Amino acid sequence: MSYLETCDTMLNHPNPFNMDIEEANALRLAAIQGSFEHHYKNNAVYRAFCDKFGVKPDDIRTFDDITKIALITSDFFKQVSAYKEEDLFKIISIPPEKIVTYFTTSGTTGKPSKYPFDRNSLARLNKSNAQILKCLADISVDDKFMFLTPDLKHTVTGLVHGMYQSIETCIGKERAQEQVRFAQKIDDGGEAHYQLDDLLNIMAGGGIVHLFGPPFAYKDIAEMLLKSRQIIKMAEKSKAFMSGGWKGRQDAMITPKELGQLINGAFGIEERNIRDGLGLTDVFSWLLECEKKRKHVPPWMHVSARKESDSLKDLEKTMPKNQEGIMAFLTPIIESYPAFLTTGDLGALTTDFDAKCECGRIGPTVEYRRRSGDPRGCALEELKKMQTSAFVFVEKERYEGHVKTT
Amino acid sequence: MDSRGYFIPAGIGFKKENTFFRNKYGEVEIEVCSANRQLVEECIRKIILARENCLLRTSIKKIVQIIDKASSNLSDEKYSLRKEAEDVLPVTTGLSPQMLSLGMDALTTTFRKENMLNMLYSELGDPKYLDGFRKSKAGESKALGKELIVNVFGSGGVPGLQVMGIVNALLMKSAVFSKPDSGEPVLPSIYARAIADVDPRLADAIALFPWKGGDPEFADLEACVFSERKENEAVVVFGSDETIRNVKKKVSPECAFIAYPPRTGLIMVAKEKLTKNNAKNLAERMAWDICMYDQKACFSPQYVYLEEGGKVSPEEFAGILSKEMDRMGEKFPVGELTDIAKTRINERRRTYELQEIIGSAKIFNPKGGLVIFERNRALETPITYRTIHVMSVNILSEVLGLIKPFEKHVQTVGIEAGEEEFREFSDILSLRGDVSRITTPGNMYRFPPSAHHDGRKNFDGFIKWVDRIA
Repeated sequence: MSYLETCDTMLNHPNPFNMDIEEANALRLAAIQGSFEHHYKNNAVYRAFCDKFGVKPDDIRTFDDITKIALITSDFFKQVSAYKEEDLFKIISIPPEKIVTYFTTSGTTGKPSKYPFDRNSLARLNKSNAQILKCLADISVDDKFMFLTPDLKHTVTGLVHGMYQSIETCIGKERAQEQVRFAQKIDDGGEAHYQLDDLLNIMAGGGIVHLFGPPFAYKDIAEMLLKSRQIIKMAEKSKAFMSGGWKGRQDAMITPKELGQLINGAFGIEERNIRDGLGLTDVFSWLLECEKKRKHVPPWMHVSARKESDSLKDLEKTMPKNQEGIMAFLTPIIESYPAFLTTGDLGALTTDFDAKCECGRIGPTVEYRRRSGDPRGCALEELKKMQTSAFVFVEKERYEGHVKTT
Repeated sequence: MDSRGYFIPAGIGFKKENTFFRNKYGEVEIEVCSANRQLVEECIRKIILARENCLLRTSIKKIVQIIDKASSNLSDEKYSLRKEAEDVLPVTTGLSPQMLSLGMDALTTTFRKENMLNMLYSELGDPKYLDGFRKSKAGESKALGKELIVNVFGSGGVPGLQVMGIVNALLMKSAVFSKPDSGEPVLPSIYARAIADVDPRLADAIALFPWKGGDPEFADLEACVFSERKENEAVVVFGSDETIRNVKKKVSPECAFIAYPPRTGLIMVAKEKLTKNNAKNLAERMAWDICMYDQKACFSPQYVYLEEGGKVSPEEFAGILSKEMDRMGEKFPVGELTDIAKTRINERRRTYELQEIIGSAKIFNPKGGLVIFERNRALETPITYRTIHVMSVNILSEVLGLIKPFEKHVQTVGIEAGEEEFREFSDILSLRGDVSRITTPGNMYRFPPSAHHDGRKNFDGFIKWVDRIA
């Protein structure tokens, strides 16, 4: 079986988060081995980079060897995208004519990063995100969704488009058109307004309604509802999904506990059904919380916390469970570029690869802690850096190979 | 106990605790005091009293002599407090013993009589205005420093800054209460003790001890330190934008508030100066600016811009700079790297290893540092710890556009150019952002105490002039 077939085996599994642990890890290893070999053989730049670390495909024999794979920094993509976009083609692992689109990350500041994609990788990513949603959120085809965001025409963020696509994949295109609504309207002046009436109407229709949006949108709407003394009692299995953090709204930031209480008070959604998602923008995925508030890593991904060090080789060493380290993300489902990345963020594994979470699903699970801070010094601590928890779905740029067609 | 992280005026009772600092240079036990509101109140009361009974009645000449003697003692390797500093400070500051020793020499040279008098003349015209009414253009004038100056030091500043805060206050005959960096409270304590060794009565106008800033446990203490300050007092903050913001919120509106936010430096070199004859010397001077205090000071250059067209290409010069930084690394090794620093350096090096492979950069690894010749002129956040970005420009004036995104943070610029070009860029840069110091490479880390600090006089905002017009 090719490594891509191995990926598809995992992606098409009826419930990948309930696979046999050994089987899941064996497939994970096989897929990553194959993916590493693919990028090593087909990507001269990445191969030269691996040679600096002295790591070759033959060196990845056991599960523990996965951490030897040379990690690219998300800063590299940022730089190349910002300062010499044509160099992006130097980091692709497929013939340039297979590139069909670029996704661009964006944040509140700084310059965006662009990532090249082929059709197959796009399809697998969509399947991945849909599986994550389906298996961790227990959604069914009759469920309705209310996005606390502008609609697809008025936003380009992956937060919205990616989630919509995942829902489409889960419940079907036609149902998605019927059962998904958006709570923010953009007026002629470009200002966004929450439409509480739409929200209340969809609730009044009965049935399960899942909410989705960034945390500040929940806070805004909850406060509006509480102020106008309109409390909604959502159906028992309704969930509140959030992602994207407090980008651009740090002034509004409250603790997760406070936000949970607000959501419970305004929408009647229980704590166990409030689910945060960790956006992994560099691999265009997200890790969703289970009912035990742990973010699950699917079998087609490898996430670990690595030991901080100033030695290039030392990023191979992983931190034990619950101990903080530099997060490293590897996924074999992207063919176009080596999706073996470190972002400089700090986190920890909260369930090991060979264990199960309290929810009953297989591990691992991870916890994002923070951005690695600034070194000591009264010299300039930080220029504004781009925060990449949301990605921009830029399909308006279509490519055939490296030639833009639209 | 190896040292202390506090200085409390005599006669005040307080609880002591021991804390340990540990790094590759060893482990030290530092005695700290248990901080609480009552201690702050008593200290402030005592130091203000000491100001009235001693400082105000001591001539400025005598105050300068006392501080000069303290500095002179500290310059002696055999002096017990100097030995204590050399033993303990590499562990608390993270600077290598060699760099620390260099820093102590610089500090004890800075706060000497001649330098202090130069500063006083520069600030006031005549230091004796601090002693009483003297003839002036307004008739007769007298200069009065604030009754109390509260200094707050955020983490990571260069050690000498905390001493500067104490010395400047004493020179203005102000009582001084300092909240040192809780990661390094030892050096200001050592200096205060050195002053006490010379004149304990004068030292009674100093109090300092650390606590965890912003921690709710110290809310009451901070109310006393900040919110209850009066019109004839001042709060000075050296720290990050966040520290400044958080403290400013708490300071009473009547009290003067002065902030020194994070700053950075850069170097510009004209093509005429990139010659075979000059390159090595220039690189050596630059290496001093970069390596001093491990590039963590406000004046430390984080970027170097080199004009194309010289006899030595910018990329070649980056290699020469790396060799000189290597030499500095041998003589004055880089200090202990924090875990965060290690992470960021690793991330940066990894990014540029890739950039080098695709032809967009060239990296050099001098001992204890990283020199990146960056072909795309990417603006990267400074990491410090001797990580320097070197870039080329077609003409030197291009630098002005490149620094626009961060010019508001630039304090010090080193320019290596012909005299006319040096003056021309000095004029232009003086109008940009917060640029307040322009010099030549090799002099970015050394400046007299009489130099303005961050664009203002050292005593600005602290002195009240009283004119007697008969």
